[in-house]
Amino acid sequence: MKKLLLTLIAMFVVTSLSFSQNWPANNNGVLITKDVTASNQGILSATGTFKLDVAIPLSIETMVGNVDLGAFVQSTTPYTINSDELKWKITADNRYNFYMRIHQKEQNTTNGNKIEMQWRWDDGTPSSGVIDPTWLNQTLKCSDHDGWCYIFCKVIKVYANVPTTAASGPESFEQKIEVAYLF
Amino acid sequence: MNNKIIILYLFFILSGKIVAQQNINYSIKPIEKNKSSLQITVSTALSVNLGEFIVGTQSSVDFTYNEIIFNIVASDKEFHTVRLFNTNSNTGNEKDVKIITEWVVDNNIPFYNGMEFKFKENLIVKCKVKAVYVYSYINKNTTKYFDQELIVEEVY
Repeated sequence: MKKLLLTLIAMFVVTSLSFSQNWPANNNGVLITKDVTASNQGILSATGTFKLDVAIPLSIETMVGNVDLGAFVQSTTPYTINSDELKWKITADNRYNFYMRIHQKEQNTTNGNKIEMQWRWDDGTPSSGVIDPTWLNQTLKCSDHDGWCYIFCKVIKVYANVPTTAASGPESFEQKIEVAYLF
Repeated sequence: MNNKIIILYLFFILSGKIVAQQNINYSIKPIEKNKSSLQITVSTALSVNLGEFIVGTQSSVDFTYNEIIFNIVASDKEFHTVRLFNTNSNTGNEKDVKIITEWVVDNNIPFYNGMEFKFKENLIVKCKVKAVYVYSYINKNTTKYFDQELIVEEVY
């Protein structure tokens, strides 16, 4: 009797466990074991990307780009003046040297009238001052600056001794500055 | 007595069957035939920003925070053997911008193409940038992207 009871309890436990398992089944209620499809070859890949910025932290901005010198009567004697200044601002990364070239145009090629200019720079250091005329129109290595530098240009003499093709008219003298980390 | 036990047993059998029938309703899963059931996946972070580099400079990079981590994961608990390649990765060129990378597997094992690795659960592969060379004659600000691709081939 005791043996029969134990057998029945064992059968009950097994049967209950079998039915209570949450096995996958199809619509017909047929129990299905794990669906394994072997693949012969598996190739996977993943891609990550490194991004970086290449910077040329150097810029030049014209702050004052036009100065009117006024009117000059034709004369064999040059006029001495102290004009307003053209002004440029150079911003550079002070960890690196940069190069500058000032293209000075003192004579108008069409008629030969001339101006005489004086250039200076100001980078906030005591060494700021007049730019030597021999430095013009050539590559200058700029170091020991403080991230910014102003370049100024004023006219100190006007030679109006050559008549223009018209009886009178404007003359223009365009000044240019180039900056680069490498010329 | 015996009859009572048998009746009781039959009762439990029947109630168990009802529970099982109810389970069927929400345990149905679609069976996808003819579909590869590859047991590994590989994933990575999408992008690592190395920052800004000045033209004409050679910079070493602290790769502690500048590495791409590939994570190969096995969904089962079995050992897998994989063959690893990085041949599609882009490191730029000397006449523009060049990055110097170092690949390692499982932390410190040097990577080489075609190397086989046996692992269980997951495997880490890292691509580190050690240096960046920026050619002098680049004349404008630009952004560069260098795709690093890890190819994982499972070996059976």
